[in-house]
Amino acid sequence: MLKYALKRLATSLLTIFLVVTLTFFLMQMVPGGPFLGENVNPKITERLLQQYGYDQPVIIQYWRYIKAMFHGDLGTSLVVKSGYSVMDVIWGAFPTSGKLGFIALGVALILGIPLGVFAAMKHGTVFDRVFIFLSSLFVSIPSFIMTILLMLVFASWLKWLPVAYLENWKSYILPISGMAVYPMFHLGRLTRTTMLDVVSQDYIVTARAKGLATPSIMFKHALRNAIIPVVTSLGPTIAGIMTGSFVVEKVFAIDGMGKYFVNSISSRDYPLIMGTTIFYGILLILCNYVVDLLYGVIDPRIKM
Amino acid sequence: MKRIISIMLCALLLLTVMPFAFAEGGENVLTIAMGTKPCLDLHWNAGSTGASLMNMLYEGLYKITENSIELAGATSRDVSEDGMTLTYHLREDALWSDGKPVTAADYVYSMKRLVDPEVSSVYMLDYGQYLLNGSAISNGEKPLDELGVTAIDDYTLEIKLEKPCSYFETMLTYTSFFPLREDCVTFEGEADVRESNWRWAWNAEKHITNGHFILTYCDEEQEIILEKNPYYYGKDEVALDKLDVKLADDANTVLQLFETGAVDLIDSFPSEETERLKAAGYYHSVPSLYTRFLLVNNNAEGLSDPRVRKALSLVIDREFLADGILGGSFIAADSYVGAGFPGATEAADYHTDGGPLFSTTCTDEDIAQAQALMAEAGYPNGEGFPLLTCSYASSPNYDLLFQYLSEIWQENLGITVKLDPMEGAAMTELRDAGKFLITPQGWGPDWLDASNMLSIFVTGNFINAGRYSSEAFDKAYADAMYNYNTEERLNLLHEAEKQLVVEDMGIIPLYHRHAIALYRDSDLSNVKFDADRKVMWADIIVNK
Repeated sequence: MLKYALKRLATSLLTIFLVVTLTFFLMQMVPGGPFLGENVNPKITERLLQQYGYDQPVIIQYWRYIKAMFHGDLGTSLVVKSGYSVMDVIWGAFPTSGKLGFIALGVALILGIPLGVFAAMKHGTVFDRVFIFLSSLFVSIPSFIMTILLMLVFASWLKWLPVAYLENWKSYILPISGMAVYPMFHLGRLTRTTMLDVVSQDYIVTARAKGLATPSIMFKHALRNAIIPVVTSLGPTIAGIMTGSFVVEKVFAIDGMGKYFVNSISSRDYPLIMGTTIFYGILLILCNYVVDLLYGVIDPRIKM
Repeated sequence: MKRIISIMLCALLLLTVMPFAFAEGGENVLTIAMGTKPCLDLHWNAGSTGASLMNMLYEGLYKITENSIELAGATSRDVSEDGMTLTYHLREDALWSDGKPVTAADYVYSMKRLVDPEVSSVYMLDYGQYLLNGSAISNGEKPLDELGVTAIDDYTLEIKLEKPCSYFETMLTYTSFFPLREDCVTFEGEADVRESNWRWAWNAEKHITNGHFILTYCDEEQEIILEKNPYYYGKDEVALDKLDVKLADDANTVLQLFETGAVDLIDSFPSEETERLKAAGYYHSVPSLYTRFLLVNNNAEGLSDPRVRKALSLVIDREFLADGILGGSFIAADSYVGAGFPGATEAADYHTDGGPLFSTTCTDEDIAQAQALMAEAGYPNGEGFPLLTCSYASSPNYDLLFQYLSEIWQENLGITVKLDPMEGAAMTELRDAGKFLITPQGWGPDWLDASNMLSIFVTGNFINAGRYSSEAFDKAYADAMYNYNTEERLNLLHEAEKQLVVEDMGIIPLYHRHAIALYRDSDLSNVKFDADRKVMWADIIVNK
């Protein structure tokens, strides 16, 4: 187990390093650059690039960046949050995004998995069919449409909830729904499918024969096996929630990471692109790492 | 029983009305919404949202009124015989928001910061060049102290010009020339902050202003609050007590904030909503001074021939484009400089004086003429004409515009058109490098004079990325710059404009924009646009 954990750690670190390198060169290859503006004199742009050392060959810039990175310095934002250090921008904005993402993930898990179990229990009934219909529907609606729909219905027409900003508990409902709907139904469907597989197995038949109650069989016996594929999909699900938050944050005018991630790219704010990418990279690789280690805990049959 | 119930209902009704009744007598507070991170640094801003806020926070030597410009920070000015030295006598009752007087030194500091190569602010090269030694300082050839702007005493400011410039005073209405307090820009122990960014300006505690308003709260991502400046000499004439600016990047979100009543006024929205908003009665507009045009690469094969450029322009039905295709918030252009710039007399503006320079529609004769021009240029029915690629930053309006243009050019002129939509920053790089054949560009003036519209097409100007170059145009423009007789000067500008879009068709003007304010008539009164077509926030009365 320890050996496996260390091996996975090494590959994770390598992945992060590759992410850093690839992002650095790809971002420089994309046409355009920082300080370019509709009405900005190209001579000014040139001067500023010089001031920040972006007139140097890319490989030298890369070397400097890596050196500074190992000293914990991710540089200063050039355009999007000019003058702020990238670390400050990230630590200032992530708590908001993290909180939303965490609650959305919680909602998706707490509602999604039981829904899936019930749908499997009531296999073939009206409940199951409605669940399948709804999950097909919501899984196929992209999050940017979902969030705009939510806003139109609950904020603009019904006026039950605020349009934008996080001011009170009410203002959290729409952004979290926007982020949670997809993973909730995704997890629910997955749980249902794996549950249906498991309940046809012999040990469940045995449990039934012993006369155990259905809920007890489902949650105690079947779910333990059925949950493994669900846990596997948690890594990508978290990634989905985090990246889905970009749209949600923009639509609901939330001061989170998503805005910096997107705007840094469109304005070619190189240090901020690197900073946000590395941050998300580490976060997602870490999630996958933890999920991988969790396998062994949930299913002792899996040899690490 | 019935009675008790009705009394209770009445009481309940009263209770719901009460809060509003209390609000009535209170402050005059306006809530608006705009994009996040408006730049509040006088020298770093290049956007219109930042400019509109800074015009409220600061006051320069001149201010823009409903119809023209007038002295504001100064009470009088003397001009030397040769027009090269302007002496301003500052008003002695002008105070900063911390109670200190506004002195000539604050103007000097600001203009030095404008040309300081250490700062390299956005308009350093373009506006700094008018001040004596401005360009030399920006290029590092002279020290900052040699800038021709001096404080003779606390209330006398002398500005020496590099070369005669008849419209220099109008230029002083632009935020780059407003006074600035040096102690607010520098942060203790953070030397880097001053150099090349505008972070200091978002610090409401540090920010000191001299205009109608002060910055009392600033979260540049979410909300900015301005309140009436208690030290402003004309504070009794400022109707608004507080301006609450909600910030959001998504145009649709901004519109929803307005529609649900969370904000009272917005000035931009998704253009596809125009018809609905007009029908609802929210839409208030005046023609803006902004012109959208096509930059044409004047050095490219085929396009270097003015006859070809004229043919391309002739077949455009600008009225159909503005009203039919782009949905009604644009005005078809019949010249390059739009309506609203001061004319030689009070009676008519510059545009009216000049009259239409080309047709806004396209008739069969126009098409025949265009085809004849193409044939003359050696491309009968478009034969032999190189592939015409139109590059542009993709947006709903540009997609529509270029679909229309490609259709009419292919159909009427027989040339092959390729559309190459791309992402914004990539397009800016291509455009600045002159690597395009046709691309859209727009320009709205920084100061209220037709010269600002034309200045960008002087040979070598960076906005003139199509590299239009005409000796006749440059000469007329330069002569205008040196001519202090208004009528003669404007005639020279008319001459330059005719050279640009009649003789040479060096660019192809398309349409003008509207300045828009969306609000409910029941909520706000006294909403006016100034001569520069910015909403005059300070005068608005909120009746909610």
